[in-house]
Amino acid sequence: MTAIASNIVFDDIFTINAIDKEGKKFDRVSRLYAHSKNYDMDLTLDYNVELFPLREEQNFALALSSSLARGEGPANTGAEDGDEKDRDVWRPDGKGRRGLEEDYDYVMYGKVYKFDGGTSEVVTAYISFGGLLMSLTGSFRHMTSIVLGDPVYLLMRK
Amino acid sequence: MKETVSHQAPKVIKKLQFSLLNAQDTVKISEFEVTHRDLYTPIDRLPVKDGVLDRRLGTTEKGAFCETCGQSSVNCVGHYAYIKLVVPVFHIGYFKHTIAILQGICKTCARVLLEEPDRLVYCPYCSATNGTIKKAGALKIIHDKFRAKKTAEEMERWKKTFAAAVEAQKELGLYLNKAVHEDMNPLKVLDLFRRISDEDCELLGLRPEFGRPEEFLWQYISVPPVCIRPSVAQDGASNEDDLTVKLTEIVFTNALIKQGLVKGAPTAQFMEQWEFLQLSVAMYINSELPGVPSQPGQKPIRGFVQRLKGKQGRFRGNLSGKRVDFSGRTVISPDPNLRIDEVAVPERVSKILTYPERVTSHNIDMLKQAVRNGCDVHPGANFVARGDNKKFLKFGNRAAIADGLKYGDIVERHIIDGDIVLFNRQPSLHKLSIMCHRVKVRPWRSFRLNECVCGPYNADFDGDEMNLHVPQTEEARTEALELMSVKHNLVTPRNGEPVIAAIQDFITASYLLSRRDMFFDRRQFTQICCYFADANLQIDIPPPTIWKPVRLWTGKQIFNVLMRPNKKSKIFVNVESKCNKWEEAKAENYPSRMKLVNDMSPNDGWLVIVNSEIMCGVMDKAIVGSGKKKSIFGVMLRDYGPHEAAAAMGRLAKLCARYLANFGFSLGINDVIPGPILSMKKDELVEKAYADCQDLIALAKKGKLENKPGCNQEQTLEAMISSVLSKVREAVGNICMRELSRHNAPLIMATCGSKGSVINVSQMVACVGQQIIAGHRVPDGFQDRSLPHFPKKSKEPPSKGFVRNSFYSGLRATEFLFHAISGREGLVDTAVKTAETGYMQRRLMKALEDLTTQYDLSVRNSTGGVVQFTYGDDGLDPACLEGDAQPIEFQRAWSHAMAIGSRAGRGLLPFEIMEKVNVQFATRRFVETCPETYMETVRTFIWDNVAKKLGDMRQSRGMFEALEREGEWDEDTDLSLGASESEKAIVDNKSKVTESQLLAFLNICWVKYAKARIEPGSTVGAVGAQSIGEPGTQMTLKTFHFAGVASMNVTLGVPRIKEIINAAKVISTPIISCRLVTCNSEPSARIVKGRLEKTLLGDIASVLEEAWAPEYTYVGIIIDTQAIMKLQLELTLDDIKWAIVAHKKLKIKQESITMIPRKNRLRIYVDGQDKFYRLREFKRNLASVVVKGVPTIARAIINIKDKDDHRGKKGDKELLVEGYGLQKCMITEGVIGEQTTSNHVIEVAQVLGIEAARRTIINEIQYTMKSHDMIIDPRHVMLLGDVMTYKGEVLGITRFGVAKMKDSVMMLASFEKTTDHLFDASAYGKNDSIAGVSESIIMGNPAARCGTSMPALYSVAPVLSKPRPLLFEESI
Repeated sequence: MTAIASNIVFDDIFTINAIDKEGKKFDRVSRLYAHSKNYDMDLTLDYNVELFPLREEQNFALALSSSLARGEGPANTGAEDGDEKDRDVWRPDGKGRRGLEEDYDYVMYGKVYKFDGGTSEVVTAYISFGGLLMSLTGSFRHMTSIVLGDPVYLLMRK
Repeated sequence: MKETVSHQAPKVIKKLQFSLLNAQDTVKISEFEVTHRDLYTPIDRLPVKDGVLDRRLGTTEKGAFCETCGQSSVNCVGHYAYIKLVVPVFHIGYFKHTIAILQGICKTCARVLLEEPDRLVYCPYCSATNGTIKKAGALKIIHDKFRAKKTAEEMERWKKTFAAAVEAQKELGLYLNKAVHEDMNPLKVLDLFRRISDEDCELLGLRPEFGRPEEFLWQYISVPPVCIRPSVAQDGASNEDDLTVKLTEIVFTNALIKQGLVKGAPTAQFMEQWEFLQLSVAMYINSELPGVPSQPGQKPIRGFVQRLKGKQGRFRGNLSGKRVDFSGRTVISPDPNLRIDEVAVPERVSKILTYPERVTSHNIDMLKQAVRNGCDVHPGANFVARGDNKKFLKFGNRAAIADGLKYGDIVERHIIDGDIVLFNRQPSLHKLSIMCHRVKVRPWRSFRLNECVCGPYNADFDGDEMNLHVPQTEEARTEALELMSVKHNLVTPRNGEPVIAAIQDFITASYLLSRRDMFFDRRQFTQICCYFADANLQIDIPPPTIWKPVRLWTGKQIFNVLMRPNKKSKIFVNVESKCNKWEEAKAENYPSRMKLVNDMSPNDGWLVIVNSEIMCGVMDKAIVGSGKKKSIFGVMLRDYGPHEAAAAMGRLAKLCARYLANFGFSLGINDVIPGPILSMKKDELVEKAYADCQDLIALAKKGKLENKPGCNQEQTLEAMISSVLSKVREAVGNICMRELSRHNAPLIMATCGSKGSVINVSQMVACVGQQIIAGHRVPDGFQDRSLPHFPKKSKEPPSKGFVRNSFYSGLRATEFLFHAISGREGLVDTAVKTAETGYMQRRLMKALEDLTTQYDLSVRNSTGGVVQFTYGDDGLDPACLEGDAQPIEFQRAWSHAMAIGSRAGRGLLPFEIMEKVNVQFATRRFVETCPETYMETVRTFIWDNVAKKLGDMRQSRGMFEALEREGEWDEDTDLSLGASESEKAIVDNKSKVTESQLLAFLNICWVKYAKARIEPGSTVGAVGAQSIGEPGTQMTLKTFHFAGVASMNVTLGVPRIKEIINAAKVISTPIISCRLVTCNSEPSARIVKGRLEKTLLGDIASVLEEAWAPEYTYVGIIIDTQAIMKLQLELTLDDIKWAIVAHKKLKIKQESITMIPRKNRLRIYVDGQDKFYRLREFKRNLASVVVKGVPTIARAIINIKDKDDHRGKKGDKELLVEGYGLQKCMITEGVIGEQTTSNHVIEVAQVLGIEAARRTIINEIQYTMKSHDMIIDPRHVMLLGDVMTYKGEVLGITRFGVAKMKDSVMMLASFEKTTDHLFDASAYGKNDSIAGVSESIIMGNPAARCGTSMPALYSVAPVLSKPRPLLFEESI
């Protein structure tokens, strides 16, 4: 993925195993459990059922991106500082750097806040989207671009 | 001109010397002698000259003037007079002392009876006979001269001297025996006392320069000024004070006696009058004389003693506590729009309470306006003062006064917004009951406060009233603001947990807002953000969580904004904690290779906040409420100071109040109607439980129930039924939580912890449950049954108080009654408890009030006695501790440092980390502040949790672990051994530490320790007393089950705390726990049990028989060896014989017992005159002879430990012994003596010494508090333990113990037995150096040697003079 030099830090297609295994606890939010074949990743994700209804056995594409700007990675914009500043800026008027979200149906913004400890090959990254949790488990080799403490966009399409 | 420093420093009382008022002084201070008994002249009703109301004594009438000083009643302080008594009388206050002295002196020559250790019969100086001195009647002392046996002969001789008189007058003989008792009348005593030499006075403990024994007797009575005994004129007649009446009585009787003496009245009459005079004088001092019957129907008079004594008396009512000006009281009501440190004061109150502000160039315009406004317009003023000239602003030309206002004038202006006031609610049980607020002047009539501040005051708004005080000087205001401000009291000093935090609806609203499925569009989000802010706050809206298909923000983001409203704000909260209800995620639901963390809780019950952004978790009781150190306000307070925490709390209050008002949250009948599934499941459960109980009862009837240890059949059955029924309620509660709707209001409140619990919900919806009365099921009120509605001897749940209905379905008549009984018990309990704990609190306070930390951090009392060498052994302040009795919570501090430090830059290698740490620890600031032990714990933490972890991580990815620096490494050495980028990334993600993060952490460690050190002058005693006393008020009077053993209860709650504090000799449940040598075998435990537990002869004798024959009579005992074997007692026939012989009451000689070992028989032969009765007596009493064990031990129980501790592992057997006899237990074979403890403080002190007693006090108090879920910092308890033991013996916090701890007379007088201490003090010429808190308050001095009055000029230590030689030493 790093070769593409885009903002996308992770990309894969998942199949939903189950939804709300532990019972439905919230009206508008469910937790899905999914697995990807490509990278052999396990995923749990809290998502808004009203905006993005999903069923079991359904497939969806999921991408994690460090910015919504299309294509260009942070390395070759030339202005490192400017990019750093832009990252945290969002513009309520809808302008600003964007474009990537046009390809997806459901986009969330959050933060990578935790990596589990331990020294094994399999690693779990925890990302919180304003309280909606996502956990991504798999080999650390597929998650090199996911950096602890960084903001991240979640992009999904059916 | 500049004012020079005044040389007339204000006078301060530094010492009080108590002495006796002697006759000379009485006359010296008097104006005249009172001789007249009449009060007023008959015609013009003026006070009679030389009467007790003479105008020369001052006056209480308005128009009249004092004839001594010529001043009016307001200005005249009053003058004294005296009454000369014709005959001396005893002083009731010194009566005990009089007797004591008489007992010590020769009744003939008045020398002290010394030389022989016991009481002398013959005086060593004059050889006169001395008997005992006894009290006979209220005011009569007799001398029983010939009491000793060896004086019988002497008595006969003495009696013979009357022979001639008896001959002449036969009746005299009858009275001769009475005359043996010599009447020590006051005249005789006075004469004796006068002859006591000064040397002897010192021997008797008196100080002759301040009072000689003859002054114990009244010769002259001082008549006090009329102003202390005012007469109340009532239309023509006047009502006189009790003292005045008593004085006239004394004057009259005195005159009668005088007349009688002159005229030569008969002796009997004289004696009668003398006695009456004595009684009158005694009543004048103390009207509650023991031995003097009070006339029924007549109200008892109020003597001097009564004026001083008791809660309303002078000491407690007027000297220790005074009425004050500049205070107000009214009803309180809530206002979430106030800041938490504000109090809304009604405008009409603000116009009465004033603050004297000095005019300066800064405030002259404001004050001029205030003066112009006057008394009736709000920001006005009531008085203007220039020097002594004070002007009232109600009348006169205010504008002119305002224009003439000059710098230096003082304006008593109305209180305005921002003024500093003290706010208080009674009962003031701890220091947080009176706090400093800022004024906000508002309309209407109630004081209003932010609901968050209800906690420390324990206030609600059901009609509570609170008091407000306005400090009147700048110094007082500053002190109040710095020490007592709400912001500085967010945490309780009891254990450092926050007490001021969101409550009730605030918690509900926070919970609702922060739930995972709360989404807002931009309009809603900005609207809600505006709720919590004032218009002057810049708010930066964070990026939305959901960008597509619509932009939505989550509820948690509102709290992110609340904590950190804009980018400029530096508030980065970092915390990870459990919420109120945390459901653990089940591992089977998640991918097997994923290591589950707490965050994945399905109900969002785990809170993680990183840099003020909530990652997961709901804002419930544990997060925004009180009582948790890891709540967001607790964290903010520790990391960013009280102002930020208070501001955030203010924002939360506003947000929640406004949001919930719009959202709506109410409770209706729908909320308590159970659904069909719920009802069905509940019925199933209850039926099942009923059936189970039936089975148990049936089993018990057949006697097949296996007894629990130490219980009989009945108790076992009760315990088992109770456990079945309590399980039902629990199960029903869980069903409720599961089956009720997510939107059910009571359920929401129970889950977020704002109000009520699961039990309350299930009681409303499903099942009220078992009613408990005095710790048991409902007892029988009728014959063999609780109510006549049930069959006799019924033990079924319904007949014993199980209520299967809910409050919604309605209770049956019997259920209702049971519920009412249990309800009333609760009410009675509360009422009793308040009185008891109040008194306990007062005693604790009195005993500990003067303990303060000194500049060397030692804890000393007011006289300088050391109680602790370092406060709490480490000199840390419990209120500033963040961890569990530790200054810092490392885990959180580390994650905080990780989050606030920059992650950019190179990660440190493990050895670099440790090097950096050591460099920091060598710097001056660390060396000077932190002790080595603290630095060592920090170092260990970093090594274990950071460096080691990083090393392991590196190693696992094939890098050098680099835990230690090695010589050949230089900058170019590749320590990663060529690991790939992805491996480096994962190591960094998991354990990267930058220098900035590490330094941030070390800085936090330093700051936390520096802040946690206790300040010199802290009143640690008072705070400690409150920290133990205040939680006492919240305890219920319940006894809990002792760990594991159903039948062995230990007293807990208030009664137990009371026992410990009183240092009671007899406690209700003394328990000794013994560690066994072989702690894993049941039989050996039984053997030890047998050695300890007392065994009676009746227990092991199968037959006790009487045998009669012409030749012999005996009591035969047949020993049941089978029983002895079963009980595993080590007992032989011989042992039994000696046990019988050793029995004190029976007095059986060993010769009379014969043993027949073959048949296991003992025979006790009886012979002699009364052998029948002896035989019967033996037969009656033999069964209760203790043949084995310790008689003081009631019973012993083998207990299996339920958890590991320093005394053994889980599952080990230990022996719990109920009763006394720690020493006996320790030396018993099979018991490890070193690890045997008792819960009886006094016994431990006797057996193991004072240090062990101290430890026991500390452990027992902590254990009691813990079992009521109350956490008290160990430092407070330690201080109490030290106070109770620092004198070398265990002193209770009672009037006896306190009297031994304290020297101050005034302090003791203000505690209990006021007048006893005062009379004692003057009899022995004691003095009081006014060093403690109580004394200082009484004298009006600033509290000495504590707080802000501790700093003083440093001076060279005074040279102590040699002790004064005692007078009698010269004669030796």
